[in-house]
Amino acid sequence: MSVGLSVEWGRTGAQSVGAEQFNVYTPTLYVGKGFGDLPDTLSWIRPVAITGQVGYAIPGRRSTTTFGVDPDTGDPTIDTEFNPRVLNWGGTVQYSMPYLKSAVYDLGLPDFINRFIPLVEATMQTPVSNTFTSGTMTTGTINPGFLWVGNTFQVGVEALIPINRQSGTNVGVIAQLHFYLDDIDPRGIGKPIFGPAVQPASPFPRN
Amino acid sequence: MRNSAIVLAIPLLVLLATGEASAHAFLDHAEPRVGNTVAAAPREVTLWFTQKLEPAFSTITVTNSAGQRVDTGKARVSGSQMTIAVRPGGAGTYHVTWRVLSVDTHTTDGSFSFQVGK
Repeated sequence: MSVGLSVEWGRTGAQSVGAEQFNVYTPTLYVGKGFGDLPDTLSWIRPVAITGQVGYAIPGRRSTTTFGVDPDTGDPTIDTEFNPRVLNWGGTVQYSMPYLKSAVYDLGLPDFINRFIPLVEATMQTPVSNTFTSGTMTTGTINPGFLWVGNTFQVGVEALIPINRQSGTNVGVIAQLHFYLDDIDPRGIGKPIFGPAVQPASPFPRN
Repeated sequence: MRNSAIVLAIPLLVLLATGEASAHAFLDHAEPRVGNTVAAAPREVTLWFTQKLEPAFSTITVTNSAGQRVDTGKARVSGSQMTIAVRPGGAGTYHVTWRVLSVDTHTTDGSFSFQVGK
C-alpha cells in the first residue's frame, strides 16, 4: 500500500486537445496484492496479482469562464463551466509469466513467452462535487493488454474499451515504452541520486 | 465535453512499469525444473540466477514432504549459479527455499517445489 500526490500542470498542453489552464491535484491511495502465498493446490493462481487505486482529483479552479461571440447575432457570450472534483478509481488483474517460471512451474516455454505479463486494467472517473455542468456519470475504460519485460526496456500495450457512450464510442490503443535507465547507463543518467552506482541487472540473464 | 481532461485518468501502465526493473538477482531457472516431476530423487539441486551472487550470504534449503531438511547445508556458488547436495530420499514433494545476496548488495528470496517419482 502506498500513497502519492500527482499534479497535472495547467497551461502545459494545447487547449485544442482539452488541456486545461489550471492545475489539478490528485492525492491517491495505491494498493496491491500478489497471490504467491496461496497453497500448493492453487499454485497456478500464484502468478496472479491485483492492484487498485483511488484518487481524488481537485481542480485548482472551481470554474472556467470563456468569453466569445455569437456567430449568428454577433453578441458577446459568456460560458461558465464548473470544474468538478473527481474520484479516479480503478485497478488491474495481471498474470506474471516470469513468476510462473521461477516459482510455480517451468513449462519450458521460449524465453520470449516467459517475459509476458498479460493484464486487464480498469480506469474509472466519477465526478463527485461541483458537478453542475459535468453531471455525475461515471466514465472510464476497460483495458486488456500486456507488458513485455526486456533486459533494458519494457513494452506495454493495452486496448481502451469505453464502458459507456459517455466514455467514448470507439476502441483505442495505448502503448508505452519504458527504459531501465539504471541498467542502460548505471554511472550516468541512471545513477542513483544518493549513493554509488550499482551493477546493471535484470529479471533475465543476459546472453 | 470540454472538462474531459479533468476526468481522464492515465492508465496504470506507467505505474506497472517499475515492478520488474529494480537491480536484484532473480531466479532464472533450476534443475530439477521448477514445479516439474523427476523420476528419482536428485543428488543435488542447482539454481541459476540473473546476477552474480555473494557466496557468503547466499543459501538454499531443501525439505522433503515431511518437512525434514534433506540438503547437506553448504551451497556451492559459482558466479550466478548455486548448487547444493541433497541426501538420498524417496518420492514426494520437495520444497526449495533460496535466499541470495547479489553482487550489487541486494537481497532476494523465493521458493518453489518439485516432485519426485509421482
